[in-house]
Amino acid sequence: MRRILAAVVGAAMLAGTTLASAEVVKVGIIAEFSGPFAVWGTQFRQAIEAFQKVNGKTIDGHEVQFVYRDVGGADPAKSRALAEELILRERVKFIGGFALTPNALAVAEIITEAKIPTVIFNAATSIITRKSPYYVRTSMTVQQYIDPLPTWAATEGKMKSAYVLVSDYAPGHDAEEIFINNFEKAGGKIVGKARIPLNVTDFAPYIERAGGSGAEAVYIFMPAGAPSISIIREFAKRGLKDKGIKLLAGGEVQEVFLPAIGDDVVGTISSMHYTETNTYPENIALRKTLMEMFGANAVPDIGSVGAWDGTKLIYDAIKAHGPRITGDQFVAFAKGRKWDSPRGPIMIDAQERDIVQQVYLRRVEKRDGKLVNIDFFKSGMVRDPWKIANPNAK
Amino acid sequence: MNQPITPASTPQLNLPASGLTALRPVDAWHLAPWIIALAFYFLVPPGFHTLGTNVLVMILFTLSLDLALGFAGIITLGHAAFFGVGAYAAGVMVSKLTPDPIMGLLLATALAGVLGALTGMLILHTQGVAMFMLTLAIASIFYEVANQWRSVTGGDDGLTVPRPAALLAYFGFEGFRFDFAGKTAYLYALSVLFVWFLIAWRIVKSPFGRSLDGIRQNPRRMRAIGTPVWWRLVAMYGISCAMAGSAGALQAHAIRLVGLKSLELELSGIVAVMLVLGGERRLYGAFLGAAFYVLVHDWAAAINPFYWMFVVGALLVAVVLFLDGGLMGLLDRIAALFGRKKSGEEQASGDAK
Repeated sequence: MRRILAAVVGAAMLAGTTLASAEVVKVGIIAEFSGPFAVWGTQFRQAIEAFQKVNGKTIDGHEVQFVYRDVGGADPAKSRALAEELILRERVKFIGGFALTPNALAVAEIITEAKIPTVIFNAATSIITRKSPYYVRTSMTVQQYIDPLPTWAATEGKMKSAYVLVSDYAPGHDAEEIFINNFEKAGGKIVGKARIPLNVTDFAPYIERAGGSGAEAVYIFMPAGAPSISIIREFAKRGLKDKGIKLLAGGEVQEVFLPAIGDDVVGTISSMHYTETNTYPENIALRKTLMEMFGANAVPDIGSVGAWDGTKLIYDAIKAHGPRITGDQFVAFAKGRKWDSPRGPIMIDAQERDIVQQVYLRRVEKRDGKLVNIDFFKSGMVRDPWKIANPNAK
Repeated sequence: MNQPITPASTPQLNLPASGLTALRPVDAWHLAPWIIALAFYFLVPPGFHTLGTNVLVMILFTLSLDLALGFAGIITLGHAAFFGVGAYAAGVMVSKLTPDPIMGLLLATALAGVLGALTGMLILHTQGVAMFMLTLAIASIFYEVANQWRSVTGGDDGLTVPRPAALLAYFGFEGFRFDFAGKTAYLYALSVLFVWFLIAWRIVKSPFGRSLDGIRQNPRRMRAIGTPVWWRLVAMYGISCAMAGSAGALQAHAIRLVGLKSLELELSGIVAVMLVLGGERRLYGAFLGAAFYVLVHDWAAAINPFYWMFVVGALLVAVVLFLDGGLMGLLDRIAALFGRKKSGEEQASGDAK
């Protein structure tokens, strides 16, 4: 009798513990699912779903649930209200997402107060991670992924002079600064520069001026999408490409945009922290899963890898600390952590909670009838140059 | 323009227009919105108060548009400009001048009211499409100023507002601190809405309000009988803009972040939608329209974060197509169905049909 009782009690206790331990961990995703930046939200979500397909929706029996919220466009007030909603009503343990800097900055105070760790999947302004000790970034900063390009161009690339064309907004100014600094430091000469207002759609005058400046290379930086597609076309149409002037770029020539630009883009050199055609096993898995889930035309971009790695970091932290992980535990776990991303080896800076990674120089080529980027140079691990130059800026 | 002014076509105003009679003890149902609002405070789980505050702020904003567009017939699609002015003014007050929320609210309200009256002097010389265009133009100027004046407004990064001091700290009472869950902000917004509602009520029942009713229907005839049409419109527009500024200030204190969206055309459009949804010239229409819009918005965005706009759009189309007179019109019809003796605001609208 006693033995039976003991068995029953034992079973009950066991059942009790399993019940208590099967928890739901909620991760709130604040991103742009509608409006002009909707492609970011879609890429985040597809990468998260692909990651969950490969790695499962549960960790040691605990379900990981993603709660999505649409912030629309650059709308910091809404971003903040959504963060509050996710924390108070949905009781999320983590927040992720953010394509645009204003939306990411807006939640700084609230996540600090609530101690909710927030993983930035894209927003690339350097200062963000200094605004709250609970930010961790798995994407890039603007100056980080541009850093090796001007140095390479002036030395191995043998371009003696360059013309710099950037969009007139904060990331554009960052890009201009780092390109000019590094290019001149490496012995190159800047023969001219222009800032293009964001609402300009006719780039002919800018391209004409750049072509007439005698520069051997033209560097462009603008928000990827319709404007960047038309400026690259203009570059070829105005004969700069035929003259042998090199076009240097960045996120404007990610694989997703290449079909829209057309064959004019072949030969464009760019720097980026992720090349879609790389052969790291994680990248092959990501591409394969995306294609299986979302059709043959699904192409990962920097948003996809940012979300993939952010999700992986959250998964690994839950695996290590269990479903009741605190914000401080997560941040401590993330600091200094290294892992293999689809983009290659990456690391989270132990002080800045910002990403440290390799940067790749690539050239657009046509392979098997498809326009793709092919790596030809790989940098060492790059820290955010802005943070190194401004160690105390807040 | 030339339809005659008849009592039957002035819907809601059946109460005697003069003096204190307008404030006589009202029927019990006038208490309903306030009882619901208080019940909401006590009954909802933590985390929903911010949503409630958002509803209250939008009610106040919609009410302000009802005064200008509904009662005075001022066709504006730039009302967000004044909401934004109030929000930025309140935000700057807290971060640069004084943390006292009431002072910030008063200043923001006054600033929006003065700017409203000044721009009103300009636009109210015009009518119809020209007026509509001018309100748009003025809203665009406000927007561009905020966009370029980064040192004060933060540009597209938005203006982060520090936590204001406790509500009555000025009088040495620290009991109402702005808490993380937003409960104090909710009560604060509710009180401000209540005060403004009494003012709005008093205005539309006053001779001044009645004269605006006449101006909306036939300005020429009103001018002929000696009404200073332009001044009356400027006054009403100024009051309406002050009210919009209050709503903006409340939002700045509650959400503690002011973005350029608070000045955008989109918000002007949304508030017009909320007004039409609830029913124009009804005062309570603002309550129903704003609450319905904000709650459906919240609900749809939670159910499907990817296609929620479709749900909201479809609902709006349905309401506009099938609900003449908005949600207040629906209430009227339900009331008529029960054959209840209609009272107050409901009655006149029924009579007008």
